Amino acid sequence: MQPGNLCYLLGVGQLNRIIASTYISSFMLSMLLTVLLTIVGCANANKLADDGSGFTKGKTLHVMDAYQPERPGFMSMNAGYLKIESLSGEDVYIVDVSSPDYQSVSIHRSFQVDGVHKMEHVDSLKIGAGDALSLEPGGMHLMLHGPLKHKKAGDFTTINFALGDGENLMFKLAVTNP
Amino acid sequence: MNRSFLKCLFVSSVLLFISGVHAESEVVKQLDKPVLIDNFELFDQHGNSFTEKNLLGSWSLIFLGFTTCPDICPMTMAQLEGVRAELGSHFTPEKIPNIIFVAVDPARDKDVLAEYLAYFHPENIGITGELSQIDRLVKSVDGFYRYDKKKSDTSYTVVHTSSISVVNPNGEMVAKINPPFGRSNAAWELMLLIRGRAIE
Repeated sequence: MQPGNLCYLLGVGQLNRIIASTYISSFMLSMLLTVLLTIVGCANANKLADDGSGFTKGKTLHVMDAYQPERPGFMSMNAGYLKIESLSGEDVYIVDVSSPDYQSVSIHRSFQVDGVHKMEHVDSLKIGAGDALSLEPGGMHLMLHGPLKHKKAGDFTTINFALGDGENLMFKLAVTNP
Repeated sequence: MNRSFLKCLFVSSVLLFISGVHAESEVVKQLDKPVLIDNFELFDQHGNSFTEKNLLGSWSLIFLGFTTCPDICPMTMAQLEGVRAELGSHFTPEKIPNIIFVAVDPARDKDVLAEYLAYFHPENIGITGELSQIDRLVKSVDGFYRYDKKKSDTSYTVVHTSSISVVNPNGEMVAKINPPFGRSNAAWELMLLIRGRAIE
């Protein structure tokens, strides 16, 4: 149908009102869609991978194979392990570690001196430009202190690395069989 | 590629291989003289008495640890289980060493030892008891431990000997396994030791 015919049938004023209300409806619809897409996008961005991996937003740091073996419920301290690789052209520093699942988390290092096992707290961890680092049993590891709930194989622990440049890296440790 | 270069490459590979093999032989260190384990009385994870007499008749791998240890003790336990598994292809079960975990922090270990060991191989043995008795055994294996805590600190850690004592069926310590070690190297050298052959 041609617009001229509509003018004839409805009159110019009524047609303008219809067109205006159509524009307003389309505008509101597109706004609604934008809001919905943003919400879905944010939800996906916040959804952490279940395979023990994670990236910083700027993709400067990549965490992978992150896990913690299941331990008895009475243990107030658990250990977590992972691999980190830098995709950055600059040194990256992990300056703080936290978790909503534990009272506190820190980086510790097990080592041997004169035939004796010892452990020490590590203040910050440097990952050199383009380097890779493993936190593994018997060496550097995450010390998870004070579980809020006993973690069993199949569960996950959310970890957040606060980096020196102000960025954050959030990922999950997969709880594995002992 | 000329022949002299290939010769050089071959000789360096052989030298590297020999040095690698030599380095591996450092895992299980035989003692110059066997050391008889002194008498002690502790209890296993099931509450049964465990003394030096329980060491007679089979090989044992004794290591010190504590049940709230989050990293080293579970790792050592897993490595020794791996060694035992590899020895399974060389020996019948009675010749495979027992793994004995000496829990040196009885105040925190005693009530949870069974629960802790249930997370590992069911045949592993855990023992603990009075400090004076623990100290007798620790002295026998030339070990060491210290509670690394301040007053009123409940989440302290324990500093302890890293080596694992190898005890023969006569109840004598004859070697030490020094971490870090590869399962295969340790299993191979233990196999030589148990067969009475020189560790090379």
